[in-house]
Amino acid sequence: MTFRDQDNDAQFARLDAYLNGALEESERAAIAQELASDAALRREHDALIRLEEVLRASAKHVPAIDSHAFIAEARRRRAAESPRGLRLVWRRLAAPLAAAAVLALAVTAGLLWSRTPGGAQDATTTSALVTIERGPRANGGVNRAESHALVQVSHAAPDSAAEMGPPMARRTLIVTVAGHAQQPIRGQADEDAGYF
Amino acid sequence: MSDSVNTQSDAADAAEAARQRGLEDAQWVADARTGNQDAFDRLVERYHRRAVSVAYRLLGNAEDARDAAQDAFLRAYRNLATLEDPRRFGGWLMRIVTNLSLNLRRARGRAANPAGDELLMGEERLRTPSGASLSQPGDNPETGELAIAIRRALDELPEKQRVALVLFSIEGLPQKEVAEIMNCTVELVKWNVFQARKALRRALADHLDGD
Repeated sequence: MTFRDQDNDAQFARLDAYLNGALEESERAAIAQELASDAALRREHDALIRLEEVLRASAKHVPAIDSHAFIAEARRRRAAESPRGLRLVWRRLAAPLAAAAVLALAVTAGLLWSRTPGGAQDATTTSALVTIERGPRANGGVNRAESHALVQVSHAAPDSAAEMGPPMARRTLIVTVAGHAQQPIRGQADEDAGYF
Repeated sequence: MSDSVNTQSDAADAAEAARQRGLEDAQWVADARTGNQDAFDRLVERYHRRAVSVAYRLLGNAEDARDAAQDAFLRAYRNLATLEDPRRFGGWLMRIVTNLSLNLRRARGRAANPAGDELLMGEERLRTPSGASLSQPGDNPETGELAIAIRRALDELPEKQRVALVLFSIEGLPQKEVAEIMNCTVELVKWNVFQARKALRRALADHLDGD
């Protein structure tokens, strides 16, 4: 019998277990006895031992390693890892951080500007009941409409026109902010500015 | 009887040495987690030879093997926080080495893969423990027939059988550790090693049969 001629898995398994010391003593003894009397089995046994030797011997062939250089290279790669990680984080966060910074700057500048004398210190935005005068009626009365609106009121120039929006007026309206400040404020507003 | 006692004693010594090694690894991992680079250097020092060797068996190229081992240490360093049992750093690292090597091997493809070619260089060093060269009479010492046959046979093995055989039969790792590295049971490791040996026995029949 040779293993080559017969695909004898069971026999191979027995020999494999025998060589690995995975058999009970009684079974080991039985195989040892068979090996003494069965030349084919002994040939197979020897071939498996040789195979194991070949494999073990190949373990001795390893690439040359300069340990000192390898450890130093590993450390260098780890050191390079941290800045690269930070760069990656920075790339991901840079845009949102920049946007947040610009926003914060704008808010701060706005607050400072609004508190600066001569700036818009006296300006305020309020929700107020706005009376819109659309001009005289044909019967002699005044054409009015009332609405709540956000109105920018300038105390610095109560008598001047309060700016209510971009100068896109299709019609210029006269607005009165009632009950705000010491006296009613009149101004001009754009009907299309969306305030009304 | 005496042999049996010695064997048991050796096994106990090996187990105690492994336990001590695990405790040291755990301490170095803990220190490395706090940013102590010297501690991680010690882990590299302890495992770099095995890492390169395992990668080399799977890739067949020294340069690729060193690179794969370096990559493995870097990945281990990055993911140190995820290691659940720091005493098992060695097995964990070998798993990373194995996976990286197999990925690299798959990526470069077998057609263009000179895997094992370097294993043939210096083939004269492939000798049995008794000192006999594995080359057959008349073989070119640089590319002996048996060495070529071994390389081809290993290359033909299914991936799991190849890994199991490399780790157990060539690197000499315990089956339990191989099972951890391969993320499977010890029984499956045994089965894969058995199948691999059987396949090699068939493939190398002309070289192994002494007639």
